[in-house]
Amino acid sequence: MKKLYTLLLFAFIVIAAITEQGCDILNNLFLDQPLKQTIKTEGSDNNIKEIKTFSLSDYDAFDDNVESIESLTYVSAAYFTEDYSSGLTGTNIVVTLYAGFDDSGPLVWSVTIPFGQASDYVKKPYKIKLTPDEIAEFNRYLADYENNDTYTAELKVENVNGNDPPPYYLIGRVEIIVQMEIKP
Amino acid sequence: MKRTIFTLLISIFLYISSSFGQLGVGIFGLTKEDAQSYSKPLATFLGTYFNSSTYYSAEIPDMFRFKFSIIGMYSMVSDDQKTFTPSPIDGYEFEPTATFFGEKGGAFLGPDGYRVYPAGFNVGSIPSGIYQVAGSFYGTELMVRLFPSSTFSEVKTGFWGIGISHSISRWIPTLPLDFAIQILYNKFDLEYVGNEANKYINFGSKNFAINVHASKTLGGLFIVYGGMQYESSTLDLEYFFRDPNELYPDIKDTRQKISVDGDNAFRFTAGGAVKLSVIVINLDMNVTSMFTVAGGVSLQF
Repeated sequence: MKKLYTLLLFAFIVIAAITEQGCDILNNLFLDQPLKQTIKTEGSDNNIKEIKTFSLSDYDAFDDNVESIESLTYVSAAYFTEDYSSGLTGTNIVVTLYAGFDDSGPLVWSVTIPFGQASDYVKKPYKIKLTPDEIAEFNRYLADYENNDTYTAELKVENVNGNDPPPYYLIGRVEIIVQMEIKP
Repeated sequence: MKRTIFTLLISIFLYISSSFGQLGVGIFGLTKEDAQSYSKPLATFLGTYFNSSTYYSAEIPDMFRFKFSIIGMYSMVSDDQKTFTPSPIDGYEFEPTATFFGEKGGAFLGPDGYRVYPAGFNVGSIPSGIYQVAGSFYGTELMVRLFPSSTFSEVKTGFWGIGISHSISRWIPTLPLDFAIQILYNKFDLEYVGNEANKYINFGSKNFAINVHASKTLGGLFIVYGGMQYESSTLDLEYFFRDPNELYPDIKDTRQKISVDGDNAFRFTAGGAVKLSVIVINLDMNVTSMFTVAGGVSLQF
């Protein structure tokens, strides 16, 4: 009977080992998290700009998995125009991302988007192309997500004009995709 | 000893439960249509898992016999079970993205913004285990699998399964092989019972199978066996929809319900077993939606 117990125990251990190995076969999970920020910039000056502050921890998927995150990296980004004042013209749309609670924080990246027609980017995204250096800088901040939870996005329109008297406005949306690598 | 065995059994089942509980990580952001495609291979796996290794012999005696089996399985996930193409939406050009078992999720840019799809767990094969007891009398065997509904941390889970086999060859003694038919039903439930509403997930897996199997015992020591099985699986899933893409405000923060049929249909099994006194060790191969190798150790007397 003792031999029988030993054999049974061996069988259990084998299966437990298989299933324990099964935990290892669950590789790290890569979740893409969209960070979407809508910004309304409005004013009567030659250049109009507005900022919006957001935190990674505002997003459920990030918040849920923050203790299991192995890495956080930039994937891609895009700009959309949602609305604008009548006949709005300008020379450029500038989208800038700062680390921290306002635009006095360190610059992470900045892109200048050509302004043709105001409707150019309505339902037609402008895919933001960061330089390798900008991506590396952004990833450096993302990697230290525990100390860099908050970012500030800035939307600026240069040399604005329009059909009607000022103030002019433009509502733009910036979408940034970051990828979380999560331990299972 | 009993305590050790119990602990090991708990560990086996908890691994399975916790692994499937991870489904929520990915599915919270998917619409019903895409959630079905994402979780379909999981439904298939559950059907494969619960309908595996239910026999190693077609010989069912008239006298009472008891069996207790510990089974290990290894199921292969094929490449086509790792990806799906999202439901078409105007202005988007979708490419295949990960299912539950796949690797990378896709991020597709279109007129409404990015649509981001979850990654999978990137597994090519799945080891698993289960245990079962069976008792037979008068050529009929009743098999039972049971893990009582229990709550661990924030997950309530449990399963039960039942199988009935009957010897055909006892009615036709001239047959050169032992033949039996078997009907199986297994049910597995898992539900998040924590306090955070946005983590809610509940799924129930129902699996049915019917088979005809045959075996030949050689020299009272070796058993060669095989069979053909029809099987089906359904995964009923309820999950909290978070709308991470911010594209479905009407259903954001609501619970969504779907029912997913696995790709299980027919299975062909071939294997062998060795009888060592009251111990039987068996190994078989299963050609089915997910090719599976199963092996077990049984105490039989």
